[in-house]
Amino acid sequence: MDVPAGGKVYVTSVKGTGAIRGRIMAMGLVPGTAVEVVRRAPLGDPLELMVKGYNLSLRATEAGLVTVSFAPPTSGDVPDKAAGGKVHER
Amino acid sequence: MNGDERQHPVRVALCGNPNVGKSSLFNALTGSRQHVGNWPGVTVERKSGHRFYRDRRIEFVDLPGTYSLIAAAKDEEVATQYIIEESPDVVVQVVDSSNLERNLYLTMQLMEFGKPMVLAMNMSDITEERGDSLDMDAVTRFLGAPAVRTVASEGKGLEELLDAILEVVTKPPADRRIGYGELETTINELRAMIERDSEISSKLPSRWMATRLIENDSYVKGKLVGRQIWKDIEPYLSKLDRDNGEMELADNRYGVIDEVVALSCKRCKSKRSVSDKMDRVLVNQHLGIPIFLIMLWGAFELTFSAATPFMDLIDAGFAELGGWLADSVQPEWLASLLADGIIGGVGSVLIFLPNIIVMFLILGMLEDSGYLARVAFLMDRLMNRIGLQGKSAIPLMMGFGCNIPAIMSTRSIEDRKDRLITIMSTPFMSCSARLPVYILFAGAFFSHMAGTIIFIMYLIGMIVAIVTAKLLRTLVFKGEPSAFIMELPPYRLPTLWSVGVHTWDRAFMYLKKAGTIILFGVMAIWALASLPYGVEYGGEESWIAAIGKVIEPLVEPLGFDWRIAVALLFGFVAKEIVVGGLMTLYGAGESEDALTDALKADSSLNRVNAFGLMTFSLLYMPCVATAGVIWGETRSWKWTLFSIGYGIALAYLIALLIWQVGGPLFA
Amino acid sequence: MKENDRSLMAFGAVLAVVYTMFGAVEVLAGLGLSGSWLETLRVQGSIMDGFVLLVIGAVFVFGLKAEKGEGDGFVLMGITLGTLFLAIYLALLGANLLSLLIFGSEHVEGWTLIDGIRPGLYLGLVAVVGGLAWRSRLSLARLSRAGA
Repeated sequence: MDVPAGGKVYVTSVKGTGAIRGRIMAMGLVPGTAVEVVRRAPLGDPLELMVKGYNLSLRATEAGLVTVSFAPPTSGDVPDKAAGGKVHER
Repeated sequence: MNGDERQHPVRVALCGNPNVGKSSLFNALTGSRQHVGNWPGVTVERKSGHRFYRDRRIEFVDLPGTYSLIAAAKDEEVATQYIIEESPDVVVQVVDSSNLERNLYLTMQLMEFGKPMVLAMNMSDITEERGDSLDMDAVTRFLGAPAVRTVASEGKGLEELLDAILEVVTKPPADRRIGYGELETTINELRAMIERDSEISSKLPSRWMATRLIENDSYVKGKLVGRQIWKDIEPYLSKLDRDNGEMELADNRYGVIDEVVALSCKRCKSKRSVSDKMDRVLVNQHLGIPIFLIMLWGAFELTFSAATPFMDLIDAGFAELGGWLADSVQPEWLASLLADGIIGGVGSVLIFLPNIIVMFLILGMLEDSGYLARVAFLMDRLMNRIGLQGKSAIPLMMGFGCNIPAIMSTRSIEDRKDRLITIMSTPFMSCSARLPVYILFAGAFFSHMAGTIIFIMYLIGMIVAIVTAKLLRTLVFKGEPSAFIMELPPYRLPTLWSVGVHTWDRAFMYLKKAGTIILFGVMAIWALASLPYGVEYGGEESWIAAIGKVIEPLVEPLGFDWRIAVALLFGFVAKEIVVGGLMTLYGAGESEDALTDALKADSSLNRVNAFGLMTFSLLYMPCVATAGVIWGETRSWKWTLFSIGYGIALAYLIALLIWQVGGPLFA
Repeated sequence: MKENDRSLMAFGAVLAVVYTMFGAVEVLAGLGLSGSWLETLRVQGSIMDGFVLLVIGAVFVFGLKAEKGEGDGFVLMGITLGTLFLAIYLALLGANLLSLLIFGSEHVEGWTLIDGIRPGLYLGLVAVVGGLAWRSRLSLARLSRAGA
């Protein structure tokens, strides 16, 4: 999806398989996360994104695996995550 | 604590994301008591060291920096393997406190190992400066692992860290579990299956194995394949929607991370204003690449010109030493051994030391400042076209100075294929040692066109490098090029100390590798040139000339005679000795001008085979030391020999073409 | 959006003009332009040197053309680059000087101290002056130390 430089979007899902996908998610691109497109490199590729407080460089092909939307995640999503992410002592 | 426990060293594994100052912390903790080795199968170095604190000996192992422990590449597997198999007493994660959210992802995974943990919240000077405040106690309570503020570059927080390490060794790890919501049923089902194998579940935590299986981790899979339980587990896994499972896992981890951050971090808004402002210029649409070009030029000018007086000094020093030895040592053969052999050998390595040191200094500063990441970012598109990636640009460019540190710097490329292709292509970037050969022959045979001819050499080198990369990518390493997922760290001011330490490390490594190989090579040549006894050094009667004459028929189609063959043999060891060797062979040892005249006078040499010779010098193995470093970085005889063979073959073919086609046309 | 610092921008404008001019001169000298005034200005006639000056000049120019509030950053970066190259040229000068002192003038083919001076050097000095004048903006403390 074409996001202009300076645009801010939110991750809805991450496609792809295996190592690349795992890496993309480990770098913070998971559903619900806010991503800002900072710029494209002078030669067109890769993209510079700001995600979870730091700058990430990603090629357009990999970025294509991440589906995004301009709409922030609905509040309905948040409780699900919070319910899941509980840390408790055994 | 009884006396026995006091004897046991405490073994600590140091891990964390790249760019968090882990090496600085490691250096600060272990100082000079370090040892650099190798992980099996991986080219990342294994650093271990120790320190005495409060009567205990604490041993540290520096694990490769990773963003996640799921074995996507060797680096991650090595880390997992170490923690599981060598079972350190404590795992210390170095966290970039100014970048908490992403760093904690690794923390979540580490917690699942169930080992005592300590978090070194590094870079805390930045966070404090930004006005953010991290509540260490809250983090400690939430995660069940002591969180200690550190600023490794200034050596702050070390004692608190060591205290925390000693504290957790004696206590059992706080058992924290991350709840995975909907995935829990699956996890528990997998656990049940795993626990049927009592042997493996006594060794490895079953819950951890279950989550890893969902994530398709190769390490855990490897442990279970072939066991009884795998017969049940495998079909179960294949029916799982693993993509979704992975996402759930990541999702939940970040959920926990959000909680930790919310609890402990006040005012944690990311402010990268200074770095962003700088990037607006340095990665600018129009200015970015020109600025990179001038930085590159500046780096080269410095390495070539600034190091010159020191190189000349060393050269002169060795010449003096050689001369003194020749005069005062008897018998003559001993003097020759010492002067031509040993001094010559050691000299040809040391003479490049200032060059290497300056290059490593500059590289270290660019790396520590964060600019190199920008270079990779700028160059990626171009590199991708030829089958490489952004990070390959740096070694390739460094190759113009010296191939050895260039190949060593390929360590920063994580993907094995990318790294290998880069290593195979770099030797064709014409290094500074080849320049004297060009200058000699271009000057002798092309007079005012000399500059252009030399430029053409460089061009040929670059073209061959590009073609090699493309060929390797399409023929040998088929399949998708690796993904380019790289962090662009904020700009930092390189500390003199950290740059100094890195430079020293690398320079030392160069000395070791290049030094030993060149020394042996030069000794071998000396022996061949001095025997049989009493013969003129490198003269027609010597063994090396005999070898040259044997090779002569091979190089005849290239238009070379035995002298050139011998010079090429010299060049195989190190290009630096080619010109000197030619001086001996032509009996024109007084000066380069004398040699130039001698070359011009030689009727068998003309423009065409001179051009062929220069091209041959360009393409075949830069020097034995390069082969040594290639072996060091690839740890594979196959590839090292391939590189040597490919270079020679290419050199031969092209020189052949030049002579056979060009000879009749131009000679 | 803060306003650009007026005096800083003026300084930037001056440097924009000066760097670009000298850059152009160097390049032209490399391509064959000649004249005694080149000697006085110590123009080396090196196209690369000219390119360096042109690029730094371009940074300043971009600063002038930038949107409100952005210009400062460009000028400051320009000053930084100018200073960086001043350091580089000084190092080269120092190396030649060292050669001279150690080996004597034959070794360096009659090079004298004057030969080491070039536009990039004295323009760089101007940049440094600017850097000192606005050093609060260039606070290095804003950057953390690597390997913290």
